Amino acid sequence: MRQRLPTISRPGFLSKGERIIRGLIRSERLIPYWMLAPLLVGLAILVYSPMIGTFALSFLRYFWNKPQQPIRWAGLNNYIDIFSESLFWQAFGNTIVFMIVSTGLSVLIGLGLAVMFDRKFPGKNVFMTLILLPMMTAPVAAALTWKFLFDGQWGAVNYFVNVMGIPNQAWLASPKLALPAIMVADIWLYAPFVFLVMFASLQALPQEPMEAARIDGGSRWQIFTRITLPLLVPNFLLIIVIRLMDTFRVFDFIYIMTNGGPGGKTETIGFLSYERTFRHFNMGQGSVIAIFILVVVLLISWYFIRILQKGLLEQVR
Amino acid sequence: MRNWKNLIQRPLVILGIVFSLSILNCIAVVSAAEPNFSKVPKGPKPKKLTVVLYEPVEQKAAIEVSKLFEQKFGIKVEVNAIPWINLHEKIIADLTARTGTYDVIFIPGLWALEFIEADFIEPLNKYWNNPNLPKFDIEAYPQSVVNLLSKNGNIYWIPHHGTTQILFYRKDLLQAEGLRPPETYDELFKIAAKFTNNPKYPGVWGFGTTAKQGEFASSTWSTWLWSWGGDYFDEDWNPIFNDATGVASLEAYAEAVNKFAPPDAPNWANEEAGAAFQQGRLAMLQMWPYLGAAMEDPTQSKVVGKVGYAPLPKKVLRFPRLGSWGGTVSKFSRYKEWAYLWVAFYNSEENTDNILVPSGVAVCRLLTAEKLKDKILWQDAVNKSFEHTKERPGIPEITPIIDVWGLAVSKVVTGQSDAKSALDEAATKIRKILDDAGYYSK
Repeated sequence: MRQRLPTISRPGFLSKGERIIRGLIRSERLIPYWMLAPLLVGLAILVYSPMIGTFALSFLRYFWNKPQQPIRWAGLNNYIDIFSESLFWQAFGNTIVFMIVSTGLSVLIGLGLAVMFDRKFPGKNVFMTLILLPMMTAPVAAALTWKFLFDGQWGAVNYFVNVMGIPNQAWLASPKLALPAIMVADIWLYAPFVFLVMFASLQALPQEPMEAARIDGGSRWQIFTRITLPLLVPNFLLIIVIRLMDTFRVFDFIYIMTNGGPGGKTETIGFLSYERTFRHFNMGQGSVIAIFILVVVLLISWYFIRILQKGLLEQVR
Repeated sequence: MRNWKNLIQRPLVILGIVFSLSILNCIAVVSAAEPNFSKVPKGPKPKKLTVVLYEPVEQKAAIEVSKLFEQKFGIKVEVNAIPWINLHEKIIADLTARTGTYDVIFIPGLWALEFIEADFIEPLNKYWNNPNLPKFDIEAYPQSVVNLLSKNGNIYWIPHHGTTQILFYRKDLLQAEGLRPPETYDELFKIAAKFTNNPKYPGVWGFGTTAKQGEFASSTWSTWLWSWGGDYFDEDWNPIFNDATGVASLEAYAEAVNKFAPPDAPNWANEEAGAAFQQGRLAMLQMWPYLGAAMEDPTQSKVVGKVGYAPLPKKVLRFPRLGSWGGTVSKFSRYKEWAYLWVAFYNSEENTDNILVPSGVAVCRLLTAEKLKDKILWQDAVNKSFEHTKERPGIPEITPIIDVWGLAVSKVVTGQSDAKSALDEAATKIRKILDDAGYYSK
């Protein structure tokens, strides 16, 4: 007969509160929360508190370079000032164009390259390394390099344009060409990232459906559009969300290559936010733009994540 | 015999005394001008001082002077050179956080009131008036430049750099056409037209300036605005730059860029414009003299010995923009007296003549500027330009205001707006900035 070991209980030593706390610590239901706690505390300190601070600042008239001046309550004036400014809407328009074109093209190029590399051919690894090289470049260095490449005086781009019989173009000085030139630089830097993710996704796809389709006489194009592409949708959406968020916040290329010019044609929301906060030290207006960026990025992410979840649920069904 | 000897000797003695006295006098004058660096601060000696400055102009000089400073006082000096585009934000970030990272800060006259009113910098007269510290002769500098950073009887800087925009022109090209540098903007247009798209001068454009959106466009247009007889504000801070004179000056500026400058000019800052002139692409250029040294450097310039320097032309008046830089001491430096000592040492007559001038600093120390007239090719043009020169108002709100002007000028230059509409829009925005800052409720 198994004997029960006597339990050592010392209720007299613990108060009721202590027992509740001890219970909470030992409760299995709460273990996930305890494990998440360090991360949540870190996020609260590093992300949420600055976010709350930014929100609070957006209602104040506070200039960082005027410490002697009292901080005043501004109500909604910072919001009214920013949303009634033509430069803000111009910057928003530029950002939307930049976001759509740059994301679209980098995803298309990345996907195209991934499909091209999803087969064996001599020198594949060398070409892959060459394609991935831009990823190693810091955005600021890439922006400087492209600034020189697009230079109207001695830029290499004009050299190639001349070879094709087209006269020199003022890439970064022309209101029509400046934004597209910056998009080219952005696509050059980020298309390899898209390529890498899409290539990894292609490699991870199950081969059976493709083989079955091939046996059934499906053409390459049919297999790609009807099997490969639908299977890639979740990764596709994920990469689109990441690129949309990146391009919406674009700053470094603008800062280095054009400073928002000519005539505001490359002014973007991210650059305007920097300008208001760190050049004009108008913390209220800078915060309003930062909040606007946050809201738009959240909406974009929410929309795409919903599509993603819907798609996944349908797959499960 | 004795009398004769006395007669001979007496004038000699008198001459000798006069000569000795004049030498002593000279020494005394020199001593008064040159700080006495045997007087050092009594407070704890730092291991290191940090100087922050604008990248291209004074970096070389500051490093050289700092080596001598270290030899003399045994204190290391770190020189942080920052590009113009980040300089303001870097300095303000340090001063607002009160970290005291920077002991010595080089600032332009444009930021005067922002720094003084925010109580970011020390009045330097309290240091040179301190009998225990080396006295500095601020009167050796032009009063107009010193006054840029003065308030309520306090002087906050030693302005080592004071200069004006001038006209760089190709002597060889103008001579070949029997032309003289332009005295008026009408002449400038005629000369520029002569060299633009002229098959005799392939690849040469008539005129260039820095029209890049932001400070560069605002800076170069200011010279045109004042030369046309216009100004930015009336005495009650009402914008007047959008009046008929202002509009005419901007129309002329945009016309000059569009007709006579290469197509990439609307994105030119100083470096790009200077490089275009260096490579022989321009017949004339509105520029700061500090780039003169680069024009005469055979390792990087194709126009060595071919460049003439003249004051910018006039419309109603000759009125080039004044550019000034000076050393200040951070309010949050832990070694303020030593920082002052470095600023005084940097600006000593000896270092000014032997280091600052050869490094390309456009020195405004009066005696040095006069001495340089025959030695530095562009100094005469600068000295003549000082007749009428001014700077945009150095108010704390100047940075956002400059961005508004810079955007308006860039819009007109790139044909996105006409001058009147762009300046009217700019005036509305600037009025709002000043109104928010309480300029109209005082």
